[in-house]
Amino acid sequence: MSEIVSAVGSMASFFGLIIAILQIKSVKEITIATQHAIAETKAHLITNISISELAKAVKLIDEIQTYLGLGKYDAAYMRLKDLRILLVQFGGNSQFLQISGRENYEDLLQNIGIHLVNLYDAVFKAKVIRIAIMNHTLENAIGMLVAFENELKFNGGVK
Amino acid sequence: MTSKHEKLIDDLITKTESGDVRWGPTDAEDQFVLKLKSGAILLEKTQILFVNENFVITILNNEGVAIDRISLLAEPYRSKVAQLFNVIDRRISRIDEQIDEIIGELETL
Repeated sequence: MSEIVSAVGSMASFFGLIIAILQIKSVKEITIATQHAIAETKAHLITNISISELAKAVKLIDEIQTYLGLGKYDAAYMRLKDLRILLVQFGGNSQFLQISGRENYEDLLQNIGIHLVNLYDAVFKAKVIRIAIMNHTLENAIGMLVAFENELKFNGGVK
Repeated sequence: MTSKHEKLIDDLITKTESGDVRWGPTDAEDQFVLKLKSGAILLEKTQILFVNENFVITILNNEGVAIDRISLLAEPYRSKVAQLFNVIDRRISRIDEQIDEIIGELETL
């Protein structure tokens, strides 16, 4: 009788072990799937934030060009400073640098820096500035931003 | 003006005269820029009370932030930078090439 009980116990233990292994495997699969879903959501969120920031930068450029056209150099100066901060943030994104080209990006930042120096002097020292050259820089910036935005929207970023 | 500024100006003069660096125009009159990987240098001619010429050098870092500004009033650097400005101006305006072309044309007449 005790042998039968022992055999039944062994069988139960064996099946219990198999069930435990299956459960562990199932939990592992769920964990992997969850991690994947989190990573995907995070990537989508970052992409959406990036697109929103890009749109903000393009809007800033539009405002700067309008202020320059109206001769409101103080407002243009403030917006251009905001634009530079956004561009510096984008520079931390390797995809943005890959699409823009590091040299083009650095050249853009330098040009914006020069424009800021001259806009400041235009505000406080009545320096004469050539708006067409500033607009050229801003158009280059729009080109970079739109290329990156398109990449994020239609290709989901550089792989 | 510090000794570092003096070295910077001396190096700018040497490299410009040897043609190792290329200055370009900017969005402002009487102002030139030298773009380098580590930053940019702005050289500008200004006027004090519409009479005396002054030269200002602005140093920008590689993010385009103006990190230093040197107003060059003291000699001998004022004269040195005035000469540097003149060299850059003539190169960008291609003054010497145009004079050479005129001389060349005159010789053929």
